[in-house]
Amino acid sequence: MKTKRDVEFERIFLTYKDQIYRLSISFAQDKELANDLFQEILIRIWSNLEQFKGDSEMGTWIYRIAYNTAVTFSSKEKKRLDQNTGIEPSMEFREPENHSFEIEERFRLLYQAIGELSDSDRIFATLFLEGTSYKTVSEITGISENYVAVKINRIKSLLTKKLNPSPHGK
Amino acid sequence: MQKIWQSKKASSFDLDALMHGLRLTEKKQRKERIAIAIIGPITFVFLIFVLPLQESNLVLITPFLIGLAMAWVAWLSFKSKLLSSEDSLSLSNRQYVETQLRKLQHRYRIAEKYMYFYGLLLIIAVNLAYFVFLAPLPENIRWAIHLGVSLMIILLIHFIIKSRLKNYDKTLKPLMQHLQQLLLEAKQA
Repeated sequence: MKTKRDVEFERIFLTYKDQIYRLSISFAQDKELANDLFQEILIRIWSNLEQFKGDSEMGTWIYRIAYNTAVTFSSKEKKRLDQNTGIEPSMEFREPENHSFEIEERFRLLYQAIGELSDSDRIFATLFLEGTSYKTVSEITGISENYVAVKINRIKSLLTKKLNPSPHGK
Repeated sequence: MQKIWQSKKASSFDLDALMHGLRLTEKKQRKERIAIAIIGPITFVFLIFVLPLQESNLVLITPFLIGLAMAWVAWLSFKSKLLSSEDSLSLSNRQYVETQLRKLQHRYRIAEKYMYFYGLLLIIAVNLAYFVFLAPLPENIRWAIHLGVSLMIILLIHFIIKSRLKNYDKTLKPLMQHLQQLLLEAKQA
């Protein structure tokens, strides 16, 4: 029988899995590591779920756990994960069948551009790409809302330039 | 740009398998915690039981010193977990990085400094017991055994510390540098 925690975790998974996955691929160098990070974030959410007191929005809480896990994730964690959970590392992330080549190519360019950012900037970039409000970004990162706005605008123009390179730099 | 980014979806993830694995892991961790909690007291009781307390009350100090040293090191190792718990994960990124950095520096300090003091307590405890056990032997043999045992403990502790620090240099140091860099970027904000 499913416990209250199981039901809540499933709900969180269904709501946030895509965001967590995208965050994972932006922080990991390859698909295998991204899957490991994705799994690690889910494990941390599961382990901490009973400590969620509702002081912040659930989304903010999830993002905090996800980003905090991502910045300290390493291959050492991967090894520990394999040893401790006994979970088969065969989970796959298939692309939806209607995913067009053009979108995939644009995504690849975006992914590449994000990969060139520092970890700190990557946090802002991915939160911006998820459409997160400045207030929430400020709560997640611990940086003032004003600076978040400055930082995101800077990253936005940087990414736009990388995605649409023109001879005049527009 | 946001549309392109959000077009990437995660699918075909076996959540039930993950949850099953997590439940098993939790069970295993619970058992391990219970084992750790009872090993210390069992060792203490065992020492009191096997030591010839009737020969001298001095021997009684030995299990107490060993117990104290074990409890002290256990406290140093687990206090950050006990005090701040895994709650730190839900802190803001900046606070989390600061907390993690402090925890890692604390682990370094334990290995670099506190372990030697632990070794010293161990040497005192063992020598106190040997002082009583070796009483019937000639003085020069007693001295040789005291020195030999002390030297052995010093070398053992030194070897453990060095190998732990070497391991930390490989695993913790890069992570600490990475966190310091993140913190620096956040402070410049």
